[in-house]
Amino acid sequence: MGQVITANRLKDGTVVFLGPDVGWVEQIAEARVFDAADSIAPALAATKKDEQDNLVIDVYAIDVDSKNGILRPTKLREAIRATGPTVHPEHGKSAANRG
Amino acid sequence: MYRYDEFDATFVSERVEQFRDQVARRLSGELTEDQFKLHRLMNGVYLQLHAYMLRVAIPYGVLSSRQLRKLAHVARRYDKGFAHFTTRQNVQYNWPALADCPDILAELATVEMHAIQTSGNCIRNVTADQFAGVAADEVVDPRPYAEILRQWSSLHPEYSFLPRKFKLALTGAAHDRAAIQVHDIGLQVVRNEAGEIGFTVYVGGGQGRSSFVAKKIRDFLPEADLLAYVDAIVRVYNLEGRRDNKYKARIKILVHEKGIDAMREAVEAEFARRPDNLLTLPQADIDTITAYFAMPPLDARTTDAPGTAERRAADPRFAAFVDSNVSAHKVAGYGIVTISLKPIGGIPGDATADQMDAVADLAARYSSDELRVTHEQNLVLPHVALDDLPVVYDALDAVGLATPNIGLVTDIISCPGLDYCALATARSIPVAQRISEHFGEGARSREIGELKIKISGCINACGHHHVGHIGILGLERKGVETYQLTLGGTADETCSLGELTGPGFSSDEVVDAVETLVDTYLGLRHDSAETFLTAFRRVGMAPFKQALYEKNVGAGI
Ligand code: SF4
Repeated sequence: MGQVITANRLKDGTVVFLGPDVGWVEQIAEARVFDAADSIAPALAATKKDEQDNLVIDVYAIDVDSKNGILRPTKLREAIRATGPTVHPEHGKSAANRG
Repeated sequence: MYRYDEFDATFVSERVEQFRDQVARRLSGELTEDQFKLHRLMNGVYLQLHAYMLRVAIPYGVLSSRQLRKLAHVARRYDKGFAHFTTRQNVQYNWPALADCPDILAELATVEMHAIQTSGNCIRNVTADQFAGVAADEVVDPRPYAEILRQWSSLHPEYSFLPRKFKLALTGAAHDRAAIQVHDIGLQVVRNEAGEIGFTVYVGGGQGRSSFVAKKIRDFLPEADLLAYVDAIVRVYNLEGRRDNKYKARIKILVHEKGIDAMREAVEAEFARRPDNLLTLPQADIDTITAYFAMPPLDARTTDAPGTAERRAADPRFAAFVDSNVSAHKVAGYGIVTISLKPIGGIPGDATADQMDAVADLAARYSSDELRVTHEQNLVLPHVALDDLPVVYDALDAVGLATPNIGLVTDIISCPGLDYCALATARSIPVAQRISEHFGEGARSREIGELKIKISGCINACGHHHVGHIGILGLERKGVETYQLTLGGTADETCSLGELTGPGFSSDEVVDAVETLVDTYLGLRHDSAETFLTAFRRVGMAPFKQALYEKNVGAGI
């Protein structure tokens, strides 16, 4: 259905997503979703500045879709990044989601 | 065990301060990620899926209680309360903040530990038989030589930028518990007919995209020539190893492409050309290092251990523990206790901070303060009096560490896979957990006997799947996890690489597929003394293949 931009925060490595306003958010649910109407290219180019400013590293775009109103990466790797290890539901973002 | 001298201590703490400065400069923006990454990796800090990962070396798998307590402390204070023991006798923290890594390394330095050369194209942590110095079947203790190699290879200026990473492993017993034939250099410490110590040297073994059993390059290398000869091998590799293609850069490819005879010729020529005595080991130095590894004073203990015999008779689980987790010690009245980090349904190799503290306490009280880490992701108490087994077992049981399954179907090696690893193509831990739950701890797993299952989450083979009696490789096909099975691999002295059964299985099918293999084995073995591996070697792939692909409808992804 669309794409979001993801990265890791430099300081602690936490997985982050580009938010709708300025800055990065920790939950994919709060990420800005790009689609045909909202082209990802300029936003992706603009994140270079956040890399230069030492906020994030390893920036890239991922595909997402929405199931029952919940935003999910289409690839398993990215789904695990977005929610945390499947073998440790008490750690990572799935814990934050519950809490 | 080895204690840092002044040189080691200064070297490690200087290194921590250098890294502290590098991290500060990275966080302030003075260094870009490209400039910093090399330094980060040189200090064992990776970026994984969810966070940074810090890999700490446990040289040749030897730990003291004090060190294990420090590892527990780091897990508690800087991480999420647990750590992961790997197939390279390292320990990994999955969630450290980059900003904390210098402090973590400074804490580790206080107990003589570090993360140097746990990453990068250099000589990595030297590994060894986890029973070194204590196994009843051992000829010579390999640890002094492992320590000499560690010192020689630490920040070796010529070998800091090899074509690719380089791994050495040592054993001093004929029965290989250190998987030396799947290492870049494998060394077996031996004695010749005259009783002199030397090494049988293997080169070019390794798993991964191209996997090879190492070739023997020298039958008997005299003790004093250890460094000179290993140096000659690494130099030939450094000069001739491919740097144009990452996948062809390991020494195994050089040995394969050049052929072992030409490789031997090149190494011997290089060895012959060294300036006299430059790297010849002085006997006095060997003796000094060897003295660090002397057997601790062990009180004379009874060999019949009446308390243990009594408990055995009364408690079948304890009896099972003694049978599978206790191995023969050099000293009468003592045993080597392997602590399984594979509880049924658990994550192979993970230990909580509380568990690590409990094990450290046990080592202090019952094992002369010594511990070992195995490449099969378990811990070892190397010197436990047989009479102390009931109390040690009870204490382990209290923290969930008394699973009596060493060497059995549930003692599974598993790499972190797609739950953590940035390179993974599929998850491996959940497969290990489901297999473990399927077979459980009961009589059936005992009836199956020795069976090594090893799982990797990608072709890099950190989970040693090539040398599993049953190997499982997780791949991705069209966005879905799929698992290939290999049979007949082993990393011991009869080293062989597993053979692919055929098309892979889905995540839903893979446990059933393993069950089919086990069931087929049970049906065709001569008797319970014939292990899975022996039976496979006798009958070959055909019956297993037939059972797998006729039975599993829907297979063949
Ligand atoms: S085998 Fe692959 S998935 Fe597993 S730890 Fe190694 S690189 Fe990661």
